[in-house]
Amino acid sequence: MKSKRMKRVMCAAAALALSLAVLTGCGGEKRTDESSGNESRDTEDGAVRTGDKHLNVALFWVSATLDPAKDYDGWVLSRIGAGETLIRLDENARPKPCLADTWEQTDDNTWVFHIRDGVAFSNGKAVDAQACKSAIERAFELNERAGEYFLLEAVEAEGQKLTIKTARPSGAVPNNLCEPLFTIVDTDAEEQAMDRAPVCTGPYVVESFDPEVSVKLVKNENYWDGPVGLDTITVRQVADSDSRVMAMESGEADLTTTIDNMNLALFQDETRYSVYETIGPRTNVVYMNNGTGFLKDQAIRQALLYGTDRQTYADLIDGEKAVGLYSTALACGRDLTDTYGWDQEKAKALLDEHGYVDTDGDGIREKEGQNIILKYYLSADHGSSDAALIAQAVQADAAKIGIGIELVQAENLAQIKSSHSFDLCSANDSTAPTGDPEVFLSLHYLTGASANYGEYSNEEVDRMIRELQSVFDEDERQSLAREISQKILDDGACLYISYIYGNTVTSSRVKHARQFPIDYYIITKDITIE
Amino acid sequence: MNLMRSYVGKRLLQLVFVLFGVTFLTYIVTAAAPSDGAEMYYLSRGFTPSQELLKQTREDMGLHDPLLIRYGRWLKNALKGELGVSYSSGEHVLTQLGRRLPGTLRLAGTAFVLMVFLAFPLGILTAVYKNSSMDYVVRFVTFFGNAMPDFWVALILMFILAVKLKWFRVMGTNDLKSMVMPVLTLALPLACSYIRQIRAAVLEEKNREYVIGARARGVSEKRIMICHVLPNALIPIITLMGLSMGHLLGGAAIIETIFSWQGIGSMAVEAIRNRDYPVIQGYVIWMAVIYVFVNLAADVFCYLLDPVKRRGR
Amino acid sequence: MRDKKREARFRLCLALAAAVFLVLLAAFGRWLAPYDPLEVDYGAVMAPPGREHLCGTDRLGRDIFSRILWGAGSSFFLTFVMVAVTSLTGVAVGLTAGLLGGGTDTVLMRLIDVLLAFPGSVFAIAVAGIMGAGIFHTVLALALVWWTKYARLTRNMASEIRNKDYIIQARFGGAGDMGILWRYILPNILPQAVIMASLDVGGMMMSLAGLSFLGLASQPPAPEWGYMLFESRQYMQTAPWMMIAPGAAILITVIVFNLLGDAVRDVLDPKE
Repeated sequence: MKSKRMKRVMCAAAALALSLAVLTGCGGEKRTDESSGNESRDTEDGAVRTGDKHLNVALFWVSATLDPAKDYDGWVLSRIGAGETLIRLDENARPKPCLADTWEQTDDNTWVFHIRDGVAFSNGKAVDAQACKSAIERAFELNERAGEYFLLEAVEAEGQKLTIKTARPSGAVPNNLCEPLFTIVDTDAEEQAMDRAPVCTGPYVVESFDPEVSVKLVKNENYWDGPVGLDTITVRQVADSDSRVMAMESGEADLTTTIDNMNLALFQDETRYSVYETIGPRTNVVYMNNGTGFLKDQAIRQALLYGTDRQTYADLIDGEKAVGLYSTALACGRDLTDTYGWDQEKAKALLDEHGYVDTDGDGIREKEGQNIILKYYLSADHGSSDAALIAQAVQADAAKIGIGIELVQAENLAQIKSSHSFDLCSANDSTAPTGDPEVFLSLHYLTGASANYGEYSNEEVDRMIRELQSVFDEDERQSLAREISQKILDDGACLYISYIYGNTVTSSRVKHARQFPIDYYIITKDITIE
Repeated sequence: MNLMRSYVGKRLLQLVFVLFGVTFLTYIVTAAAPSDGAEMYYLSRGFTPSQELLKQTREDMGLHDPLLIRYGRWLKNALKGELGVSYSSGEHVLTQLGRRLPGTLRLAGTAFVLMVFLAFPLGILTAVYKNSSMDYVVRFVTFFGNAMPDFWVALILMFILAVKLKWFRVMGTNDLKSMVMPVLTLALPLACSYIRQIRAAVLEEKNREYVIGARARGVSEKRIMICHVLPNALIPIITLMGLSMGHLLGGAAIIETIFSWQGIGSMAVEAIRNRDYPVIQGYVIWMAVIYVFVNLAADVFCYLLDPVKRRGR
Repeated sequence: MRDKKREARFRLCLALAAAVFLVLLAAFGRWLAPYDPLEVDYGAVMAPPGREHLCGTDRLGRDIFSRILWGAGSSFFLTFVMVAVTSLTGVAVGLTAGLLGGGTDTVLMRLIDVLLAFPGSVFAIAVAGIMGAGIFHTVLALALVWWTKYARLTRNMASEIRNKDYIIQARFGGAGDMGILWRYILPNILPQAVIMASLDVGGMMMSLAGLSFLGLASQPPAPEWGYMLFESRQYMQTAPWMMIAPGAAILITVIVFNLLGDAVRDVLDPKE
């Protein structure tokens, strides 16, 4: 009897061990197949292939595919130094030759590009106008976003001459072609290869790809633009900003970007790290609902503008105080007049003047007997807390001028924004993703436009935005955009809080890294290791 | 053996019912959501649909049909393995789950093994050597371990082990070294709680009359322990451990987010951020399925071990 | 044996005293708080612990000690309400199922099986995710799963007791359902439910904090412990005190209530 039970216990123990083995077994299997495609693991630890220059990069995002025409995946392809476009944006966000060495506008709707001679894809195939044509057409075919940049009528290819015809005059064509969506990719490759290892022209070539986890790159032996600084690169997704910081500190990563500004203090030691910072095209903004609710009244909006200490908020989150909608990374964002400087007395006087007074003594002013309490939506963002800090700071300041704010964290911010069901709503907008101001304006500030969340409407501004479409000189475009931006600011449309610094941190042995205002570029041919 | 078969059969029948309930409940919760599926579908693709388009899409998605009909249709697809398409990535939910599930299973599985290997020896030893200095130390440690929120433990482990001591990696998901911290965070609090439970169970069993009787008859302490006390005390613990798999799977959501581990838990948190209902639905249902099967396994296992139950039925 | 009982009573008194102290602190702590928990002070952003600020300040210069005292109120209140509601519901449902038996029992138990099939906080995460984050939805979701274990316990005990000889005898003696419930069943079940509830306080508090930590429960700027930890994450290195104080607050509270739970069990449980 006893021994029988003993046996049963042993049996059970064996079964337990077995089931555990099965459970962990799925892990074990996975591990082996990963390590097989993974020789460069050793190079990370600096053991194998001595003399090779290897860089470990921690990026906040590695996409689900590497197909430039899908979603925003082209951005990743460009950031890791694999994808290139006809034109690229320089450190002033201005277009600069890349695969196209010259271009000109021949009439309102026609742009002619000359494709640089001697450029080849990483597989050795020459890049001619025909190859560029099919890449661009493919982008328009697969991605709705392409149509936002310009309406394509036709692309013609003739030797190295590429002609792009637009359906409507569009002065932003050169800038917009810098969007990595228009990465020149070899379309003859199989569709499947497009997802995992697209053939492009950049200094590095994708060697292996693990979706949303990592990309391994090797030097492009056929690169057209001079020597390439590194032999191999491993890019890993580290979505969490703190983890990126720690990866830098522990030496697992040699280069990372977009870390929380507060944590830059940890990298002050110049013998160990280099830090690069530049104002990017992003603006922290709080949309005000111009169409409905309390904020329909310009006076309350103006009072909020006067009553919020934006300089302090910007200092708090280590940004630059915003004045208008465009950041100072762009010409159109500079030299604006701050119509509503920090002045709480003025704010109070303005509210008093318009009859918004606190009659019941609860500290909040009323409109027709109803307390002015605004609903302020912010994203429940797990990565950055800037939005939450700004929201709480605005709330505290608004309370001082007698305006109540209720904060609501929401995951479905996009829905709330587009249904205009908010009083205040925080956003972090890239105001000129391609360095050109037009697209953002026409999507966000034209009366009734799809992303006009705050239902802003001004006929004069509408007219000027339309005018912008057919201005072709770049400087003129920028100065017209500046005028529009000033008008929108004067109307008290939104609370612009701060312009955001982009940053790159590298270990000190990494040389020639750079922080571009437009974040399409992280890994360049110049980056190298000493 | 027949008894065994009928027991398992009965449990499987029960399981079908439970799974049915799980899917229904999940579906109801999703259907009760304040946001509109058709609209979310477009918004997560980054564009604002017109009213006509919305109406058309609702029609196409069959959102106007009564709840039960919609559920029936959904269940039919689900049985075929089609859990729908993620709003945000356009990927099939099942594909996405398939990609992220191994990460979580590896984490939870390893944590489970670690927990078992910590809890049983320490629990039994502290019971055997009650009031020894080791007993006190373990009791003290487990007492604290039991009361610490796991995400706090995670932060502190990360701070000390990765940042200060640089022993472990913070990034990377596929090597053993980067698994250490998340596994520790998941396993330690649970192990603490089990060490205490096992110790209590063994002590209680030790004071039973039959044990005292056996001792009086001159049976050796060792033999009493191995043949009587441990089997009886530990069987209920196994059921509990099956339940703790649920804790591991649920806790993975927080831990995976902290350690940027590519698993199903962090996937759920991302999906929540995007209001990606099909993915959330898929997540809940899969978690429930796994959990139910683990528990079934634990129950069957106990049934095998427990003579009373076997004879009783 | 008697000594053991006395020792358990003594421990109960101690734990009870500590718990009462914490509850009082939670209830009246806001009057002890040196600062307004919402007061933003740009001059003292991320000040380390010191004479001015006992536990330091956070990213907006708010006093962490004051925030913890204020946060205690809502944390305790929510936890107690949750434990009370779930245990009462659970016991009521369990009694109904156990006493009525038959169809009602089957339906209720199967419902519980379904709810128990959702592991850990998965269901709460999903409900909060689908319905929208916010304390109400999260509490609702947790409660929806949590009551089931009380119901199970009660139901099993009730159906066991129902068939005991002395109950059957009492029935023969003319005792009504209510009478049996009051005289025989409740006195047996209540101690178990109380033990379970007192052991649950700590767990519930941690679950709530965990969901807050994921950003699913509390809304800023409310001082809530889990959310404070969430906020502190990024500043682990630059301002570790932001993480230490709320974590310690949770730790201490959970320890006290675990001790209380253990002591309650030792005193009430006839087995020991």
